[in-house]
Amino acid sequence: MTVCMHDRLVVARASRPWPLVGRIGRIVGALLAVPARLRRAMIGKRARQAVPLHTMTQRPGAGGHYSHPTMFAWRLASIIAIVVFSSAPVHAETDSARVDRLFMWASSGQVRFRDRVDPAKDSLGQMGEKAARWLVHKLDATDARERLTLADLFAKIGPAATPYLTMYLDSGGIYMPLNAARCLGQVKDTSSLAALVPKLDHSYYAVRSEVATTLGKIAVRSVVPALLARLRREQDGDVRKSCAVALGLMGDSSATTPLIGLLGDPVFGVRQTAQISLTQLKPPPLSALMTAAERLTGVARHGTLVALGGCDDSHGRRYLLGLLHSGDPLLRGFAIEGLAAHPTEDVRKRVRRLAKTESDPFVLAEMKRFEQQPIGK
Amino acid sequence: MRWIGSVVASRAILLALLAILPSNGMAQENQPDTTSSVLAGALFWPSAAIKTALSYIRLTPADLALRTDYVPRDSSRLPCVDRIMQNPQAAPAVLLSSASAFFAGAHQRPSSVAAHPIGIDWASLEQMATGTQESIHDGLLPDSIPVGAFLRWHIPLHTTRAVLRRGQQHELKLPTGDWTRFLNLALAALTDTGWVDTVLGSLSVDDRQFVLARAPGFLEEDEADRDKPEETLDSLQKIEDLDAERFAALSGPIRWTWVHEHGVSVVAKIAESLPLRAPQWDNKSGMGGEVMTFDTPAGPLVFGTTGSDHFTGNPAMIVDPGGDDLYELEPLAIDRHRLILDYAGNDQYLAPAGNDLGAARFGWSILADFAGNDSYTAGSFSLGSGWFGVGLLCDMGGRDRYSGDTHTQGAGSFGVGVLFDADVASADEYSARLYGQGFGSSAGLGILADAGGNDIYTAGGKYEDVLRYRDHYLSLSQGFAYGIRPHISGGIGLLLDQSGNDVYIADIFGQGCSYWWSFGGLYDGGGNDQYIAYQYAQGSATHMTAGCLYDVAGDDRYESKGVSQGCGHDWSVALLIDSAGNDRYIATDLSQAAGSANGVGILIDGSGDDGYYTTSMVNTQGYGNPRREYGSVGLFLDLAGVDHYDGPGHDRIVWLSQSRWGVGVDADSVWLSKNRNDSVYAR
Repeated sequence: MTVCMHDRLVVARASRPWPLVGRIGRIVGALLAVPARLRRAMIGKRARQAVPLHTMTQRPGAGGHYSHPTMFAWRLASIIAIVVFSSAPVHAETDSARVDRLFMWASSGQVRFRDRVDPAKDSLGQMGEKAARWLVHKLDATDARERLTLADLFAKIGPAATPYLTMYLDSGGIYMPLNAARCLGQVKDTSSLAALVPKLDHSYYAVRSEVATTLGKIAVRSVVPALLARLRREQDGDVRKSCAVALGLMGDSSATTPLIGLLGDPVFGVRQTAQISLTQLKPPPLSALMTAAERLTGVARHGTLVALGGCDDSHGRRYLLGLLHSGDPLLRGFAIEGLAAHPTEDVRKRVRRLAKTESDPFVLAEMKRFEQQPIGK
Repeated sequence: MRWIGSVVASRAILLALLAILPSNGMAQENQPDTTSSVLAGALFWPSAAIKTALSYIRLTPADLALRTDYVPRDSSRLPCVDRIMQNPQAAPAVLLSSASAFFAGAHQRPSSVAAHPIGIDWASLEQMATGTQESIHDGLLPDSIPVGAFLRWHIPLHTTRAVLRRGQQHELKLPTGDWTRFLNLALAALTDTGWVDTVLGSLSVDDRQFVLARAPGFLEEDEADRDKPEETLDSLQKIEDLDAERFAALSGPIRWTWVHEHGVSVVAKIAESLPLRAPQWDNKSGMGGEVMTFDTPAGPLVFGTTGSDHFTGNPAMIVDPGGDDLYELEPLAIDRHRLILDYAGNDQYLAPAGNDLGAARFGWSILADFAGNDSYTAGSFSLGSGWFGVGLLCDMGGRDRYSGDTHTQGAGSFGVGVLFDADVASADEYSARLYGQGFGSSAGLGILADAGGNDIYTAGGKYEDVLRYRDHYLSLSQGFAYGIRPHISGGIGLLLDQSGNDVYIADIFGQGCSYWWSFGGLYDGGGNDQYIAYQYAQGSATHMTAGCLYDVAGDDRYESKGVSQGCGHDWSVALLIDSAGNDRYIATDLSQAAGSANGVGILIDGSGDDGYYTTSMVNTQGYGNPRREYGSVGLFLDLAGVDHYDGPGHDRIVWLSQSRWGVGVDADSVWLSKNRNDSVYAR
């Protein structure tokens, strides 16, 4: 079904038995919608077919759509009506018009208008579900600032937005499901999990990646198997990165082996996030990491050392201290980087002692950075 | 005869810059000594040092590669851009190759297309270089046919001594076979219309009108924006977005590749055939005494005099042998071509309405001025500008001044625009407002090349940067490339200056910089240069794109506030490479090897006693911040000299950024001896 650049009018007319003032407000709403329509008409662009059928049922009173001639007649009548009622005060602004106006302010990037941004975001947040139902129509945004603004706004609105957002996960194209997944990550509502998990198999990598990140932010361990399954068959580095992040945020130790495997990933973002995630698992995978540190080579081994240090455990620290006498300056250096994650006074003394005889510039640089870390952080 | 060599070089410019390797080289007699030494040398890329420095942050050189599909690919993506995204080393390589195409001798050129590092489609370019020129109508007018049989001259507008009367046209005697052949070629090419039909042929009438009327608006700014209310600006932005969306949908069926293949071939063919001397008219015919205008199927053909002529109107072709002339022509219409040859004199070219002086829309245009101190003043889309066309402005000698507004001085969008000042000694002045001085937008290649002299480049000062500042202006120039985010990938913009003590002044966006799936590069071959900008400059790239400033030699000074001097932001890669000289680098923040939002920022200084000055201790000199749950990369390398630092760096040590994904190395002799096992140091 074709909807709905005009759906705001549909809703306004069909659902609210307003008195005169409300009608005038409705007319104002119609007029506010005119410029967008005229703009499209001016450049010959047809109304977008952006909203899937099922979303119509979520809108109060939405029961159909207008053909273009009907819309034109409606607007023409609106214009005539506003002229007739021009002497009457206009008190109302429809929710959709208000959301449009506030969103424009909230997503403004220009330095002249920056003082409007935060108040507009707050106002939209306070509108709650009323704002959510209209904001979801903007999920096809491709502009980076608008996309970030949407994420901020849905974070403010919270779980009231979940039903609206989850519907858009099934939308066609790329940006709608991508933006919906990102916004759900800000909402962090467990009721969205059922809609999110299947999207781990979305055909576009960025959607899979965003969904994985969102699942991590919601952090319910029951989805760990789904993430691990995705990880096993995933070819795209960005998705593997997001899976690694999510697994770390969930902290489930069943992810230890897969995450250690990612320490040698060809994509450095995967290696970095896997290393950090390993430090977030409960309980810390110390023995697995120490075994890996002996088995792995190159950047994978170096990442293992840093991860080991991040686990904040005396056994791990002892292992790393032992490497400070290695003949390989990279091992010495990354052992110090690992120790710097949770420095102790004893370790600091050891490092200072070794600094007196150390000559490798990289190890010295790591020692200097170690010195800048506060004890007991 | 300095200019003769320059002309020879100019013949091959366009082909060469599209990685078509020209057979004609620039005459060596005019090249400064530094030219051959620099261009014959290896690319400055210290691989071993880079590899070692990256190992300090657990990275490998392969980790510098960015992917090419952060967003779905559009049909305007250039392979060269993808190649640089995947391998940052290709950025200075492209600049060096491009500079070689303009400034190097034939013997210094690579021996095969395959070896050429510019990442455009080699096979098709080679094909372009070797054939498919039938549309020039080559051979349509063989030498055996008198020129007069083709020219349909009947109204010599300005002459009181019309020597070419009806019935006598066959007696027109051009002085040499070169000129006869050239006129045949040029006039045939000038009648080669129908570009709109060819390029936009698959579009509906409505869409075709949209492209012709509204698409240039993507590259036009309005000074009044700074005073418009937000609601108005928002509406305008939405209209632009919808236009861009529509244009992106059309860019697939649009045959912009035909503009590159066919247009470049035509212009190159004409440039290769340019007679090196003005025609010597037969005294008996009286030519040369008066300006003569003849109607031809291609449009008016005008022959000037050795005196000071004033050219107006809408000619297709002007040939002027000398004198201090004034050109005030009407803008070149869409689907028309123009050829202007001025062989001597201090000339003044005026085109306030733009679309002229080596500028074409759905066509080609060449302006070749062979000598004299000339002044070029034009509006937008001018001075070597190709908008769905190929525009070439070539000035072979003299101290020249160029002034333009938007899309000017070597600017290409869905086409090619080149400004080449071939004089190796004169000091030239270039002034542009926006999108100029080596600018490439979508599917476009724009190049400004200056062979030498102490030049001054300024860009900006007219269009306020309403998004970020109330006291700074957009430049988007000086080796800058631009895409229409998020709909259409950008092009390639290059500013190439071979020698001289040059001054580059920009404000917001410029000097080896790009935005959205593009490559912007600035190459300076030598001299003590100054680079001044405010933001997004001097090797900077924002939003999935690539930028590079490559200065080969000289004691240079770089000054910018931020997001500059080797700063890649948002999955972008940016490089500032200065291979020699005692240099000064001055910045405030997020500069000097700064990676931001998963970008890669690289600063490499090869030698010399340098000074690095930054205000921020946090995000400069080897810095990479986290975004999207992982890191950006900042790689700072100073490989020799006694250096001074205000900022995180220090002389002769390694330092690691607190951000964890940034590293700096100021090499001492021990470190360098371990990491100089690649050939770059041997040059």
